[in-house]
Amino acid sequence: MTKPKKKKRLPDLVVIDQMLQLWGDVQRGSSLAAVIHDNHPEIALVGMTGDDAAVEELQKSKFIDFYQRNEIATGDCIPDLYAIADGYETLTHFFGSGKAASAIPSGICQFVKCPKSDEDTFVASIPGTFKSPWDTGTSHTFARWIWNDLLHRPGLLYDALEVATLLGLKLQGLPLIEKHLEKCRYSGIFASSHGPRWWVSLVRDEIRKLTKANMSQPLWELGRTLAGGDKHKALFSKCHGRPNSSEAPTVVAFSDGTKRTRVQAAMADTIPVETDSSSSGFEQTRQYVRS
Amino acid sequence: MSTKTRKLQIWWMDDEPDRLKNFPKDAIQKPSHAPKRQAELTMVDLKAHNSIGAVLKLLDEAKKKEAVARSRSY
Repeated sequence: MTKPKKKKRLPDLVVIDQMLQLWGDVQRGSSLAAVIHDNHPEIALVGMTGDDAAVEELQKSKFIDFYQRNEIATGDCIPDLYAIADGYETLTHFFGSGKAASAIPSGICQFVKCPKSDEDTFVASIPGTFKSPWDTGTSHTFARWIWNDLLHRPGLLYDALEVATLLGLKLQGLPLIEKHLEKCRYSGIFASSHGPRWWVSLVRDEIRKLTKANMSQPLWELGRTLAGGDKHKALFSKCHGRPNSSEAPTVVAFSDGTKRTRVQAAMADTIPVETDSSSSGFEQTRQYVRS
Repeated sequence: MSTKTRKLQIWWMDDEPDRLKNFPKDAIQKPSHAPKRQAELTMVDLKAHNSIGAVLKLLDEAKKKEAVARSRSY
């Protein structure tokens, strides 16, 4: 084990356990995180716990993200830690120099490598508080917005299941056409290989270009064609709860109220999640409800 | 120093010495999806510190050493 006293550099990122038995009492990792942030706002903070459900949102907000302990221990989420550490450093350096408010939206567009065609929508989706000059606490809240909203809510960017659904495929079918989407892949700040994202507008354009399709042909049909057509029929997407339907699913929704599992579903079989507020540039999170 | 070449410093703060001891450190040093990136993991046993102030002192000292090292390199 490396001894902290030998360290000659501040950490780029600190991972803190949320439930701590310390100093004769139960301590919250989020309280420690708040104190570290006040004193060293240049450090990215990530929380972990053995029981995610027991942690309140306010406590989670002290961290850029919050993981189950075994997600980190298995190594699966390590690329996320790298992405958060590198992304946070870039943010704090850029905005630490006191940028003028007018330069902030274009600076953010550069960080995320936003396609020209999406710039207006993207800038409109950025909460107003981030378009004013930043103080020392803004890097953390902005990092949380990029990580939890831009990258983890469907909107301008889609994850693998959402892209597969758009293109009429099961998640397992996406590798059949993934090589065609390399140019569409998100490579901006906080990009992690653990959960790749794609710019939806670029995916739409690229698929239509590759298949020489007109605008009236549905993308799910084009995706299936590009994947090889009927010879890979087993990898075509199916509407959750409708095993005999040939209809292509159009939305990704949580399978139930626990919000742990997502499924490909027909829009008509879903409702918006009540606790999810819709915001500019993002799609409403949905839940499967058909019985 | 470039973000691309510098070894990331990650500190893991926990109150369970066994968990700190058994964590698979190799997993954090060579993630399969980012083979060119390296990180160094430092386990911080919070039980070895008697207050939040003592944990902060650890960070303050690291920051001071970093500033000294940087000034020497100029």
